[in-house]
Amino acid sequence: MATHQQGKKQRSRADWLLLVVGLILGSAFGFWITPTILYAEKPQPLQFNHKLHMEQVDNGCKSCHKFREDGSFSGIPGIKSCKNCHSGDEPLGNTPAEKEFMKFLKADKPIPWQVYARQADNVFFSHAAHAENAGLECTRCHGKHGESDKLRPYEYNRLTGYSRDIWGRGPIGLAGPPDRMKMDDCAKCHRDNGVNQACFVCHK
Amino acid sequence: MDWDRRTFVKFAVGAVLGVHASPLIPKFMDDTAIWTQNWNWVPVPEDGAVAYAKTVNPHTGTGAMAKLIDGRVEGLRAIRVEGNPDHPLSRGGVVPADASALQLLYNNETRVAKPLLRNRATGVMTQITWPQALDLVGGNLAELAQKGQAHQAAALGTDPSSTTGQMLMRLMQALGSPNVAFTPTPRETMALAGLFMTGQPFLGFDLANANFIVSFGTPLLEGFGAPVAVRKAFAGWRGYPKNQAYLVQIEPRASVTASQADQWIACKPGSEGAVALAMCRIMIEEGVYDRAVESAYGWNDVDGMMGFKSYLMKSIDRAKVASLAGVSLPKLVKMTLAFAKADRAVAVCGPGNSGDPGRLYDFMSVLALNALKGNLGKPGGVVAQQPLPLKSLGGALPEPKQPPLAGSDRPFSVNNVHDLAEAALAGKPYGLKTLILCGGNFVFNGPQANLMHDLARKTPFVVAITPYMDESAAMADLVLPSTHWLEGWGDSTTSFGSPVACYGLHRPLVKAVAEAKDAGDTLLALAQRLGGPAAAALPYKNLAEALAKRSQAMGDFKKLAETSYWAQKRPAYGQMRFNTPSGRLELFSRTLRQLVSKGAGGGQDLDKAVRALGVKGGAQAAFLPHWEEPAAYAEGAAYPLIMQAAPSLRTTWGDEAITPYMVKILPDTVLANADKLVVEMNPATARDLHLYAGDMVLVESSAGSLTAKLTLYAGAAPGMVFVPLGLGHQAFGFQVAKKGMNFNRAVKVTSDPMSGMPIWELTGVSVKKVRG
Amino acid sequence: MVIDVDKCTGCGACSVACMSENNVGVLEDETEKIRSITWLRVYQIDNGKAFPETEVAFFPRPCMHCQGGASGSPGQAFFQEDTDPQEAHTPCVSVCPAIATDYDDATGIVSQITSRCIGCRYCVAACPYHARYFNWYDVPWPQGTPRGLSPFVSPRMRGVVEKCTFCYPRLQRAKNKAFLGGGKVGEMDYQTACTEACPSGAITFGQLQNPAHKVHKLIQSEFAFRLLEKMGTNPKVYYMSKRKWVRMMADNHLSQAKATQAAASGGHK
Repeated sequence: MATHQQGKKQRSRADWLLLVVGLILGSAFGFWITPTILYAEKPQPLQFNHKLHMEQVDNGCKSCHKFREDGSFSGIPGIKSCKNCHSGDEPLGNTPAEKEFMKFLKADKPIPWQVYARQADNVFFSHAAHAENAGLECTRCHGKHGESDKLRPYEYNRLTGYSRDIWGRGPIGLAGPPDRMKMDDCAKCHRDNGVNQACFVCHK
Repeated sequence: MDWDRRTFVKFAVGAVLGVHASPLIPKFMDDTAIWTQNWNWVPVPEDGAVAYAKTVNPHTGTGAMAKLIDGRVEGLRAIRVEGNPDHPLSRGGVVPADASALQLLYNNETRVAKPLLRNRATGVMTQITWPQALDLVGGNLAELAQKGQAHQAAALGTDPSSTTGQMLMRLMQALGSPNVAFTPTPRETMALAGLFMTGQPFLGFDLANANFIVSFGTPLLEGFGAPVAVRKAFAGWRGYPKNQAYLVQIEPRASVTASQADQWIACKPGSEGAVALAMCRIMIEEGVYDRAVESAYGWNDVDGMMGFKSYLMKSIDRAKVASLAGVSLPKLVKMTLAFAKADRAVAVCGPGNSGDPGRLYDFMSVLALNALKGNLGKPGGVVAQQPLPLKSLGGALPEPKQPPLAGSDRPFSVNNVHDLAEAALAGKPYGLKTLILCGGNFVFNGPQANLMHDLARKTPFVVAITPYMDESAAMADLVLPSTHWLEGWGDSTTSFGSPVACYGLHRPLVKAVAEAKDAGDTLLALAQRLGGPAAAALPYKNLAEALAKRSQAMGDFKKLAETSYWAQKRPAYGQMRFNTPSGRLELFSRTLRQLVSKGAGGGQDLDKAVRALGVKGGAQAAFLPHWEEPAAYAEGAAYPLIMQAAPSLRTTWGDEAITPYMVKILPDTVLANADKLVVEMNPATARDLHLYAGDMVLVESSAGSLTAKLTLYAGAAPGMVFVPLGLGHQAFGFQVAKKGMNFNRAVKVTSDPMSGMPIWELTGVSVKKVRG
Repeated sequence: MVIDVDKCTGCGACSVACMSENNVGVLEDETEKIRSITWLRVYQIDNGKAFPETEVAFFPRPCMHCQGGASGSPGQAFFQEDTDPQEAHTPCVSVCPAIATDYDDATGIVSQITSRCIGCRYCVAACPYHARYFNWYDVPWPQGTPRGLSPFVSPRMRGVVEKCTFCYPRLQRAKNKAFLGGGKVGEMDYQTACTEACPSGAITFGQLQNPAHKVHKLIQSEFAFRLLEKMGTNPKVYYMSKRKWVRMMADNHLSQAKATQAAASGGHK
């Protein structure tokens, strides 16, 4: 017994600091490693200046991201839409991106854009319901994308393949749109506004 | 503070808690959950702008609409085939073959992408270029023509009235070959019956406006004319609380039509024509017929030969016919009286259940019944279609010197693929050196598939112009890819039995697969390659130009192509014009008599000539609507049962193959145990033969056989076996190939008396149990 | 939905149109019917009589979109919302452990969210109409055929259950159009693929409670009936037939003798 007692060291309370240090370090590690190992970057095929284009058009986002007659949303415009303005053989401006773009235009080849806001295939999202019927602004979900002067790198989740914009850039991922566009966010907004929450409202 | 076990544990616990406080774990769990729903091997169809384009399916005559998607990355593609609500006949409806057309269009495994050359010895196919391919065919044909053997080249097509069919005829004729033959259809039989009795080759049934319909063994609801148009009429007949029209079906099996009819009169197979004549006699005896018919030529005796009335009185005894056909006489009389009383009644003839062109004399008997009812030219009766206002592709070409392989021994001939194959294989009067198969998949569709198979095997040089790597292409020396109807030009003419003329035009809606060309364009290129008279006979840049010229009278071509159809506004009601020698309705056909006696004198000679054409009744009956026993009755004790097809829109339509979706919806009474064809038999017949449901049986005719699983069906006539049509492909991919067996491999095709058309409605067979 | 059995000719156009609308695949062997997926299957029945009295009829069977609730005549029970969960339940929805299927009160449609489905097949067992199908295999799309797939319905993988949705994506698109045009979704703006395809017009589709819609009137008919009505599943699919034997068979009115006979005759069902 005595020997045992002798061997007992006087432990300082400072020991507990180690726990806190560990906590901080572990947490920092978690916060750092999560996006690093989960997300990979893919370059966009071209640079695109939304700001510049917005200055040229009359109808804001809807000038290019149009509704079709049947109420569906065209999403990213095809090369045919680009030709409405870029009709000649000569570039309209003098940026390197446009020179690159002219190659696609001349070959009549679709530009393989990476889509930041692409949802899973089983999601049916009606732009008409939100932008037209409910009168929401594009920025409500897409943020200030339309004011950007260059495309940020497209990041995708290595595990799921979905764009990082869906899960959100915020570290914890609790923020709602425009930072995040998960099903929870859809459901929350529907709940808050008393909109039908049946599965088939948003799934196909 | 020392670094020991305890401090380490504290640190570690802190670190673990810290990691937990970070998003690492919940995020990974969440993403893992999403990952489980992330099926990256499942196709993700691209979204895009939707557009509809009207077209007509040339195989079914259905007015269709292709639903197209213009994707940003993948471009324009078709995602569905729907009905065109504006089409006057099909009014938005479709049949399975229409709705699943994309499965044939987009299946790379079954489409032919490039011209292929097959080595006969090894069976290996090699890709060649179009110029090489055209040189091969052109060189072969030119060589034959040079040697004066052009007649030893033959071409088979599906539809002589289509522009591609017309081109095929002109090409071969310009080359000097009389041998162009087409799939035999009831349109030809109807044309003959119509010509002989009314002088009108294009007769139709105004089904939509009739309120009493008697169908003589023709599968109105399983395959008749343009299938959707018939169904639209049928829909109008039904109603609550009472039906709008009374439908009587006379046939040996409780088919769909029989079950959906208000009355099913189960008769012995092949006796339908006799029943029609018995109805005629009952109407006369009961005095319930249109007296105008008495002024018809041949109502009474003519030139010392029996007239129609005398024939009925002498040969058609109502009780005898009732017992021969196995129907109840009181029921038959009651139905006949109701038919006579109805204000808009029509009797309908058409293709048999086995899809054959029908028997000429049966058609004539049904026409006679309609004449007795007095419904010719009336709403809900038999009406003459307006001929389609189509221009000819060019002036007349010189007749080839040699007689055609088929039909030269007949007073009138309808050049059909079966007779051609039979004559060519027999080498009478000569054999074939080159065979061009222009669509149709004849090696599968037959009509007698074994025969067509032999023809393809024995002919030294076979060319198949086809969209698919089908059974015919597999046997061809050279396969030339043609377009699917959704990706190429083409046309179709009025379907069988339609009361109004209707023209269908289909145009390229999606990009054609690889190097596929319209069949018409291939023929034009071939004509160009041959030069000389062939090029002069077909002076068109492409098929579209030829179509535009042919349909000139239908208005602006571009508009016509977008509308996709041209149709006669309403049926031609009013007094029917009889373009007969007598200028009247002819119950005794003078036209027919003239044709037959051209070769033979009168009296004894005429009788002999008539009997040589297979008419057992001799000269006294040959020019009248009359009934003769079907050949299948005389097959003898070796083949005691009668085989008939059980048609269904789920298995086949026309010459197009069954699609995967159609295979999928087949019930287990048609296809079972992965690959077994199922045949139907009446339980009593099976008992007599000591057969049980589920037995594997061999159904054998004198022309071929098939093995199948037996199912017992109370609705099948005793003494018969019913076989589904259109199964048993060896091609068309894993979803279709090697399922069931081909009905056409067991049928025995016989020659219809007088018309000489191949018929195969009934085949004498034996059914034996086999292991398997 | 109202299906006129007397007009149905069993051609299968509805079934094929359904499959092409909803991206249903085809396996190599589709004769194994228990594993063959057909959202809308056309069943054949016969009256069990001997030749020549035999008669057949066809029953196209989509998902019935059961509302549940007490059984009763269509005039009464159907229109009353039954709030007691014990009384009112949709057989499949009530058993799903993953909430992968729900009953939408607004539309009366039973959904199926395939990505949420865990593949337990409890709903398949619970459905009295065999309207639910399990994907035993991945669909072997032949090379090139995915080009013909519709982007409006998400293709499924193996291991999940799927079924008829009354072409819900068509309502989604019709709503889109209405949102943009400011109008409402009219009766003809939302029709299912099978309704459109049927060449004999045997299928009528609309809102059962909406007096302006054709179906509302049709279900008042004395000839209208539902399958297994006495189970109280309260299906949204009505059938019509003037033939008594057809109506009898629809609700298991089989006499004992007939039932034995039907079992003995095997295949023809």
